[in-house]
Amino acid sequence: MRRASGSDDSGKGSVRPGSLKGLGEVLRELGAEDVRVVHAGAVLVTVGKGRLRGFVEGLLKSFEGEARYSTGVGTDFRPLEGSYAMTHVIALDRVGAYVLVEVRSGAVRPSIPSITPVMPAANWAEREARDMLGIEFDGHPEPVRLILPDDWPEGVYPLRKDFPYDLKLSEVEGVDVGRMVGEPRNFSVSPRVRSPDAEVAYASIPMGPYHPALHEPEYYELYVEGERVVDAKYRGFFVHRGMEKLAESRMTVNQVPFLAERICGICGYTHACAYCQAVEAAAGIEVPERALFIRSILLEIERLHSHLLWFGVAFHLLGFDTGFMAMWRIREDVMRVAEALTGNRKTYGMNLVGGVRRDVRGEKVSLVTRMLGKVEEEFKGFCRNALRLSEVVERVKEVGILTREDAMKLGAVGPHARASGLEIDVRADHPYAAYGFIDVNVAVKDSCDVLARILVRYEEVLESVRLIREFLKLMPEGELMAEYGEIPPLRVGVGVTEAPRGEDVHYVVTGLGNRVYRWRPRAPSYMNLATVPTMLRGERLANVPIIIASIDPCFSCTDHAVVVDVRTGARRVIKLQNLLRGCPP
Amino acid sequence: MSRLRVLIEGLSKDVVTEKYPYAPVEVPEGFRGKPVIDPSKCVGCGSCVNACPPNALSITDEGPYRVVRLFIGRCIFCGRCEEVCPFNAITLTREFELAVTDTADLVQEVKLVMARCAACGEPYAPLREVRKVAERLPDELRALAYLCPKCREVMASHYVSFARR
Amino acid sequence: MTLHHDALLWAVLAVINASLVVFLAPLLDGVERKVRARVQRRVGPPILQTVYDLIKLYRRPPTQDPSAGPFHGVAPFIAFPTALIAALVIPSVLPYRLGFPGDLIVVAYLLVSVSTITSFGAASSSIPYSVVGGWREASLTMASELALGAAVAAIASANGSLLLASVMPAYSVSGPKPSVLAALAGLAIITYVEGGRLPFEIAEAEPELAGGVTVGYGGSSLALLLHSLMIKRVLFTSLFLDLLIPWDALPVLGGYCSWVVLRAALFTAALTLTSVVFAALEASYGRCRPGHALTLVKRAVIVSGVALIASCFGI
Repeated sequence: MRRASGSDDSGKGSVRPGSLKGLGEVLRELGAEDVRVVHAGAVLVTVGKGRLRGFVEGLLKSFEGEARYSTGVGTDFRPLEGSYAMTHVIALDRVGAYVLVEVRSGAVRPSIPSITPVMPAANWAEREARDMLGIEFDGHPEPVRLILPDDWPEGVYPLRKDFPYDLKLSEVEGVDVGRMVGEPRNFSVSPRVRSPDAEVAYASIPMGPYHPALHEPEYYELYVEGERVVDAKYRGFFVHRGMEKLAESRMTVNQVPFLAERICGICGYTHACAYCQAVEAAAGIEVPERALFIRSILLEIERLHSHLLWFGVAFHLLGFDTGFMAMWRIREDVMRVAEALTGNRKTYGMNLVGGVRRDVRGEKVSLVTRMLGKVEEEFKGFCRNALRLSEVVERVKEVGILTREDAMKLGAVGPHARASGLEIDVRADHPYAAYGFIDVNVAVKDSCDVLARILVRYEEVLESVRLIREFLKLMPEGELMAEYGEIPPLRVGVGVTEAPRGEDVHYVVTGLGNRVYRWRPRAPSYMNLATVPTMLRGERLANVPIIIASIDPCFSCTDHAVVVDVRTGARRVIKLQNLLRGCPP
Repeated sequence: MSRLRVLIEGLSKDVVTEKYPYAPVEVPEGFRGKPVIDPSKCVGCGSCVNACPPNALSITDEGPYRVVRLFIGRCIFCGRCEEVCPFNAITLTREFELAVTDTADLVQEVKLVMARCAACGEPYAPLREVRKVAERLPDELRALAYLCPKCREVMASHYVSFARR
Repeated sequence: MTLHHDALLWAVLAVINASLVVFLAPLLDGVERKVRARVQRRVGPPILQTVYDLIKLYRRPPTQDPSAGPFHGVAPFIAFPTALIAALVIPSVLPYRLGFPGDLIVVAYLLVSVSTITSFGAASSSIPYSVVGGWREASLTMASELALGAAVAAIASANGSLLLASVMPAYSVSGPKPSVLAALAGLAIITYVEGGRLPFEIAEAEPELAGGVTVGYGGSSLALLLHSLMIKRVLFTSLFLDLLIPWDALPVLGGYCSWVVLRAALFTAALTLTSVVFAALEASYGRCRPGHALTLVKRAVIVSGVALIASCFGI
């Protein structure tokens, strides 16, 4: 059931501010130098370097059990005010607000204290800011590369404002591209650091970056003993495309929605919405209600197609190709309806800042209603049988456990988190578009395994069908697009949606001349991928693909850095006798 | 039993494979396919170029012509060009079978004759655009449309300096 | 109708039979793919597709893996002749008998050899996926070997003979005793499993991490490997059909030639029907985890084991 912002009966946390203003006071007491409500649902606090960790610790304590790390954004503000900034976005789901904790650093050898020791989910965001902007985070437990390849030259920071977006690495002074070798030197070191002797006992199976089981490039190194995974290391960001830089360099505010839509081939529209919401909030643009409803309908249609796609992939990985075919056949109707409504099956192109470009009425509404009936019936019918097949259930029950504590600590979001008992859903916690007008039934399970993730998504498919019907019923008449003048520059905005995979956050700082100064999209898979090594430890080799797939990973969503044409795959010599040891006869 | 039902369900219903490409496929009304420029309507104003997110549309001045160029290889079929064009000169068709063997076949060009400035004789804007603008201006200002921006500025400042009340 | 022992006639029939099996194998695979497609409401590839695929592969050079063990590269070149010999020995589309005591054991041995050779070949690869796949296939083979052995032994014991000719069908001497029927049931399961079908196709699982026994091969060595496995599949089914149905009881309507042709047509139809049924069944399955698959095969072992014990008591 949807919880109204501000009310809570869990008994957690000692602070219960009834409004943003009240929240502001709490934050001031915790040590914030400056507190500003940037727009509904978002409070920006400026904290000095010295007080940062204490502030975050205080925040975690006051909002225990609900403060969740959403994302962190490093920004080069040197052209405007001579400093760098790191903005940590922390979600308070019960309160229904986002706290933007901004810390500044000087321009020369910028450094900021790391908050990862107190808030582990900040790990990747700080490493990303370090890679792309060169900000050092004092006290970070794993200060190694994340986004950029290991042989990327030092001192070259792509997201700094003095790095032109079309600069090639070969043109940078002092860089010899020919000598870049392409061997990873540092791996994402798991807390259990392995001694050289320990490594000899295990065979390592490299999986990726290209592998038939994977739909996008990603790299896992699995340490196995026989058929059991002892440890796993992950390295991603192979599909980095320089989108943030592109949007900040040569695009206008209304061109970015089309770029945002192409972050992902499955959940593109949710990115377009999150971006537009961020700009609309920053600029104070009120989107007409009818447009909000149309956005919501399309967002749920996207959720339908995404979940059905995922079901197909999951069945395929379980060897049940008949299930794969069935799911994608059912999904085909959703795609056709999307094409009829928007002009394209996947890149809807419906959003501009301020509203939507097309209407949904008349014959299009009947198309949607017919599709919903068909999908509901066929999906329920097929799953009723498929989820009873013993060999299928046996492979997902009690497999890939992610405990509730781990899910919370690592900042898991979406169906993945909800399958581990976390009741979080942006549609209910921080309502956006037209979700404020209805109640969303949030599906939560607590068996923490792959089966739970399947069941959560199953319920969400049926819930999406119900939501679309509700939206169609309640949709008011009205304009499709707000009228507005030039977008005011240097305003901060946070746009958040519940993508099919979880919370999707876009942080925007508007720029001069209808442009964007900083754009940081943080896709849900970014958080969920961090949970994979934890889930893989102790599992059988055969379970690895389905566990990875159970988070519904979207690597294209996660990566948005500069692509460098250097091989990053590693080849290990497998000692055969190690693999034989422990193999059952 | 569930297994049997899965089988029966599959066998009792029709095959869903489409016959395409051995039979044509219908795309719905409103499908965003290849954009086409109507050379008789385009004035070379550049609104589409400003709006185009991937820079598929471009405008260059080549000698006596202003060339509006659309490169389908970059097009994302968003339809912003169609939306912003003041003269409905560019529209999206429903064509999606766009593979070609020569990239030159992906380019549409409209060559517009440039008007020459009545004062200095330099080409400054497409003639059609100038005419369209001129017909919208009040009589006393119409002559300004036939001047290039530099000469227009000079003329306008004369008006300001030597205006008679 | 029984045929007089004309050694030359037998030899000719054996060679023709083997050739027919070699060509039928990919065709039947095509049938299975078509059936699977229809269950999934797809058009699917044409029935000749597997033939085209094999031809394509045969025309390419074999891939080399310099860091693999020596057995890896030659395995397909050993497996294929073994499959051919098995095709000569096991009566299939055409009727004949090898006719020496103990040929029943030879038949079982040859069939199992194909699997053993391919799985050990894969296990000698330098690719970790192939090694894991080979070991999985080997463990599955060893388990189904047990079941096969027990079933064959049960039938031999019930009929008091190790001569294949005497146990075609399995109840020809003993009558339809429970032990014989149980053995046939176990054999049916093994025939399905040995065809590399879901839920047992654990070694072939490409979406799994282990890419199966074929991952290390390409070109003509891959063609030989796949072809061997397809022939093995047909021979297993043929053996099962030989033991199940009294083909010789077919009445002679014309001369000997027309009888052979009719029998061949019916046998081919039976093979096709089995393929269709197995493929439809397979389409309703997901893939088992290796441990789980072994558990299912163990059931076949139990059924065959019980049959064997029962046959010793004349049940």
